[in-house]
Amino acid sequence: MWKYIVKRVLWLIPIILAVAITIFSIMYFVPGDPAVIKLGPNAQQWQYEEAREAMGLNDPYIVRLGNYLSDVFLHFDFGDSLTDGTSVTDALLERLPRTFVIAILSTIFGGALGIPLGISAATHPNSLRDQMSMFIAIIGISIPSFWLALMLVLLFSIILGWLPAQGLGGIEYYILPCISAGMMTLAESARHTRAMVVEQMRSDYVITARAKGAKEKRVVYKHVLPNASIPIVTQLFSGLGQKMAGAMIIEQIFGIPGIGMYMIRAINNRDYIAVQGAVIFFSIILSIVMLLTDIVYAYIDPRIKAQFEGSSSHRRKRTTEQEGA
Amino acid sequence: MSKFKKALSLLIVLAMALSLCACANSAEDEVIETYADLEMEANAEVAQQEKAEDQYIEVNIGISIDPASFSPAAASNTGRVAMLPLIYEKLFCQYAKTSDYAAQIGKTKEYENDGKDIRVVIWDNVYDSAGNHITASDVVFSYEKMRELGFSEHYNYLESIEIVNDYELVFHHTEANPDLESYTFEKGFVFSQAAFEASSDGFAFTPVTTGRYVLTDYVAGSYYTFESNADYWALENGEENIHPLSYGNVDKVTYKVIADSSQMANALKTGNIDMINNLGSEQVEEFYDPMTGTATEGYTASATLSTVSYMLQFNADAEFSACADQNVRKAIGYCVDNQAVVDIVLEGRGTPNIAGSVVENVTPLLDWDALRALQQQEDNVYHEGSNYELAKQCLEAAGYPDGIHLVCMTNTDAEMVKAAEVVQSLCAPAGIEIEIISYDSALFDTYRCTPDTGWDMLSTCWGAAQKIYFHPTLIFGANSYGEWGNRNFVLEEDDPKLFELLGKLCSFGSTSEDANAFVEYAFLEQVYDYALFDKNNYIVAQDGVESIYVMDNIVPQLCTFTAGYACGEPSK
Repeated sequence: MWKYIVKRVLWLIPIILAVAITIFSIMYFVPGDPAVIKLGPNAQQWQYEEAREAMGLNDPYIVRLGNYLSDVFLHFDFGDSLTDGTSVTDALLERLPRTFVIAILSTIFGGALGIPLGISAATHPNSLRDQMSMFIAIIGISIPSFWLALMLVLLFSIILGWLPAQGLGGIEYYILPCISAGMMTLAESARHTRAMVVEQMRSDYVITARAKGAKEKRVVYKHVLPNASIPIVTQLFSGLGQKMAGAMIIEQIFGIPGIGMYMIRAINNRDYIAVQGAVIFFSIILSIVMLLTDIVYAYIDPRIKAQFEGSSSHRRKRTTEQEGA
Repeated sequence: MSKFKKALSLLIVLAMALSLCACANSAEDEVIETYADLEMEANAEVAQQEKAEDQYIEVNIGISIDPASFSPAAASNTGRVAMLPLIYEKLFCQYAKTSDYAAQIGKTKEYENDGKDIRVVIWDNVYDSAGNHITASDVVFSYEKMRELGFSEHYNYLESIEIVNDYELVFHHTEANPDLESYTFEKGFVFSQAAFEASSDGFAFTPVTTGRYVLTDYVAGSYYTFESNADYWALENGEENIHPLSYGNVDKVTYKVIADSSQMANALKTGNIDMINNLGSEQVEEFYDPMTGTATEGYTASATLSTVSYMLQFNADAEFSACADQNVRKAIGYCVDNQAVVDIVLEGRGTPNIAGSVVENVTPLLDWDALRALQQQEDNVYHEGSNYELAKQCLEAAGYPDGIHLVCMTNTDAEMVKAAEVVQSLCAPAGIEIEIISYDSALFDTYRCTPDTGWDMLSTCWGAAQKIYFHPTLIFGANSYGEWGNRNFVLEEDDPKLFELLGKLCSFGSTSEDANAFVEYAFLEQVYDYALFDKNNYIVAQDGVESIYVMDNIVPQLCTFTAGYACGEPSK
């Protein structure tokens, strides 16, 4: 297992490095003058020239790339924002927990409701319960999260006055954002769970369990669910990563200053330093989330572990034994 | 199955009802003030709130742009412009677009050396919020630090600053320009050298400043709270010596950053905020009826003519654009009906402009009646409606009898793009085919600096200043355009008359005649810029805000409130 984790961690290094080089190169070749962005359009020619020199913009590509990679990977410094001069690293680290909370809570909300909904639909195929569950799932997939967010605000903040419409504060400020962001997860996990459970219900071991007189609940929860859960968990984890990267709209609507909102502002201001910092930071976070997904996947699916464990030392041992024989 | 259908119908009805609620409007009853009224009021008297001893006024303002940093040298944005006057002070400062530069940290100012130098005496009792004493050396440090950090606009004419003694300085300039005060003082925040050097983030979120308010709490990107400084240095100089921007009509101000315009409106409805700094045009009708000028019940609204002028700016470099020909520029002017542009782009929420880049409400030197009289003449480019006959004659004179293809570059700002589209459709009947290309603002700002990037005209906007010469200098002065001349790429040898008139306008003692002569030549005859419109801004507050003081943004320390309004408690 440890070898598997180490191997996966080592794989992260070239991936993140490749992302960093790609993003830096794209930003390097994108037209536009960072000195103009920094000083605005009303500065004088000599002021732009001074700024270009100070920012190292006159250096060749390879020197700038080397400096940037060294700053990012050796000092974990993404540079200073072009528009406000603040540290991009500090800004991202400060905003990360808020984005993370939205991603985690919305995934929990989606999973906690979606999985039971899917099980309920799968155990009563073609019934009204099944149709209603799938109807809710289709609605969840079809409704754009920004529209749902606005409707929830209208109902729960403006009309009923139960929850805050936007801003930062206690946990109540996260309820509407998480429902809006989690609706898609709810729908996807309901559909996925239904498909997986239905597939497992047709398996021979289920027929055997029933033939042995096991109660239906025991069949579903003891036998079917553990086997159906592997792809569901994978889907939930990868959804977590997507939510972190896609929190921009929800953060913007609910005024939650997370990484998404920071990125929107950076893109609007064409703040190259902040944009490339945020993208690389996201790629690091997503890589870590995907690493965790793989570890959990390996943990709950013994086939993965066995596959890896059986690959090197075991295989060598077997070969030696065979040769000896 | 019928149960399922019923449930589906109910859900659809519920969704429709929710959507309809979102569009609901209510009655109106309150009178609004115009920008001109507000400006006149500002000049006449700026009210200090008279509060009961135990009254603690707390106000929450919604703002769409995050200031991102309180460093004195960060790039400007609406958030910073709105909040910085609460905490930073300058030597001299305007408190309304049409006011003079009134004393703040500076006590007196005097022109010397034929207007090239300004001798400034500062108050001897200026202390920042950390108790540091501000002297002349701090002023010099502040100016030099801002330049070093890249914010050097105020150095456009500033050559050096001479320290005479602890409280006296002389600002030496490269030329005698009547707009020197605007260049030298407008962006010149003053702060303590000791405090700045001790700051770990260059004042980005830990500003130590001399202003009436101090930043007491914030979450970057979400909210910023300022509270009145009980030890504010100027209090001991007497009320009459306090600059209006340093009045303390509110005790606590919290700016809440709400980027989404519909959420901004919701926050006002739910009482989460007391005022909206600048209401999005889609939300205007929820709080204010632009046709009758009345606010919705329960709210106070203020419609102000913004100081931003939208216009077409032409590429007058003969090597790269057909718009170098005055007749082509005039032809476009004859085609464009400014009222139609306002009606379509702003749905009537603005005013057609008739004077190039000059905004009527902030440029008192210009004789607007004379310009309006000229507008009545049929051959004036700003004459009402479109005159395709004259446009075609101009095109023929320019050598394009069969029409012409031009490229209009704009940034992605919705109003600039829409304005370009309306101009495109208005020019088509005269045979002027306009291709629109739009870039984000950073790229737009880069491409506009050179005439060889393939554009003939820009759909753009400029912020206006009080001084008539500010804009002509900005547009026709060779600031950031190096070898290309200026923003229209006109060199002095191309049009000596333009520069002669500009010289007269920018000299001390220039008159209304000089101003009108310049505007008539540059904008009506040569049409280097063709003005389109000035936009209205809408500022809305809860009932109970007696008067909203506006200088581009809400100035909360100058607003007045009804007794007992928005009371809170001091932070512990």
